[in-house]
Amino acid sequence: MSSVDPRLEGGPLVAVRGLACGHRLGRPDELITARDVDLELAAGDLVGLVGAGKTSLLRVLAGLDVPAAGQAVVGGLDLASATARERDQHRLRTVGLVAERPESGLWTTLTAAENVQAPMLVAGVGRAQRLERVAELLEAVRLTVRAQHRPEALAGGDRLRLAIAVALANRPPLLLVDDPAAELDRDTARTVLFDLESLLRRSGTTALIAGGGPDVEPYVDRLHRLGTAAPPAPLPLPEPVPDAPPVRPPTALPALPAGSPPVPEIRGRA
Amino acid sequence: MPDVLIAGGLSRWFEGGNGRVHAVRGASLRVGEAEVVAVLGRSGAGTTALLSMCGGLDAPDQGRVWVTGRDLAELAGVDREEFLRHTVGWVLQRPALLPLLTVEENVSVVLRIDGEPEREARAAARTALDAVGLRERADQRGDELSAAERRRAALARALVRAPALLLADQPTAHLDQRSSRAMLALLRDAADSGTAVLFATQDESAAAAADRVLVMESGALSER
Repeated sequence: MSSVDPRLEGGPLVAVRGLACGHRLGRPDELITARDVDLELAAGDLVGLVGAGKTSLLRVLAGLDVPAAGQAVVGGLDLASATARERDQHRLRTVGLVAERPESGLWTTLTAAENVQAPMLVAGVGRAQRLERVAELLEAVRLTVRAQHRPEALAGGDRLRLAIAVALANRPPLLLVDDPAAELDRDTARTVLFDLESLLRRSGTTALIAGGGPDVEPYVDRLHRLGTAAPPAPLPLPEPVPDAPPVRPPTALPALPAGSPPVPEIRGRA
Repeated sequence: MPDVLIAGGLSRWFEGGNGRVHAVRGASLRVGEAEVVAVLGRSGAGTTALLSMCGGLDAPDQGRVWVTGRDLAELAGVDREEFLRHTVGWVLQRPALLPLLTVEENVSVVLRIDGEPEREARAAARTALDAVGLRERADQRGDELSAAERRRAALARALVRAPALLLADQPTAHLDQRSSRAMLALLRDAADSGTAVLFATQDESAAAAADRVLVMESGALSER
């Protein structure tokens, strides 16, 4: 069974070797955003992810996309060869995901407390345990006073806090967070990251936090830099600037010289 | 035709970068049982603010809203949440679906929050997904749906409770003609089962599918 807690086995929780991944738009080779990714996370590691292809890597680890090449093993489950059922269990119990726009995963018509309950209902957690977990998580993300508020009544930082609580509801051993600072001012981002780190440390949860630049560094054990996604190229690629603040996608992309490799990272999926 | 929604003299101001914006100016409207009403207005005309107040997501600075005869201003706390949840269904332009849950789970959870047993909730979710043409998508992830499918999933989630009032904000925005027509037909189906439907749109041809069209311009609402 894939849900054996790898912490009991002593192996790494996440083992990624020679992984290539990208956006699935029918022509995977054309859209590879990360290549030759090697990454190992032990239980309890907090790692920041910088460079190109962060979202693609998170999507593979979340079980949403399959690797284009190489291996990604989480909690003993090889995500390249997992069955549909194993994937379901993986998505329900092994990983929590906080998407770049956290509100995209929050129910408008449910209160904060009910939003946190939702994944537990699907996982079959009993009522008493659910309510206990909701109280515990809302306190940990400092939203106790907001328990009966709906997401759109919350400020951006509080929505991110709520999305974190929802993602952790089923106590996944691995939390994936995509660009938590993307839509927040720096001070807000820092206070959320501060609380996130202490919550993860207390619970021994492993986390991979993509993007966020210099704001994330103080709250993680180390940064893992993804290489450029350049295939053998006729022209040199410009150096990416991984630690720069998140750049909003320009409305018109600058023209690349003819024959250039694809732009390394695609942000803001439609 | 009894009125499901009555809004009287709604006004809403927002603090903007250039001072106060009068987003909705004394808007009044009624939507009856089994009726489809469109609010036609450009981006920025105040249609989203109007819908938010009609469904209790936002409170008016002036004016009152009655839904199935209840004055929303007189409802508070848990009662208010319970009432709105059972009475008002929403289809937002970018509906929230938990990316890691299946489409069916995204729909059935709404019922299970209310204490419905798993088996019944799942069956109801399947029926609702069937009604919006998403049966074959039920086991996929929320994340794997197109924009049109996400909205249909949101519609299934709204209809699974058979709400008295359905509010849809730009339900056909960015959809191709076929998906757009399908969405409008689904709103009509909801009305045929008794639900009062109010939707905001920027598209004349979408508005033409309604029984009545109200026009919103710079926050002011008028009958056409």
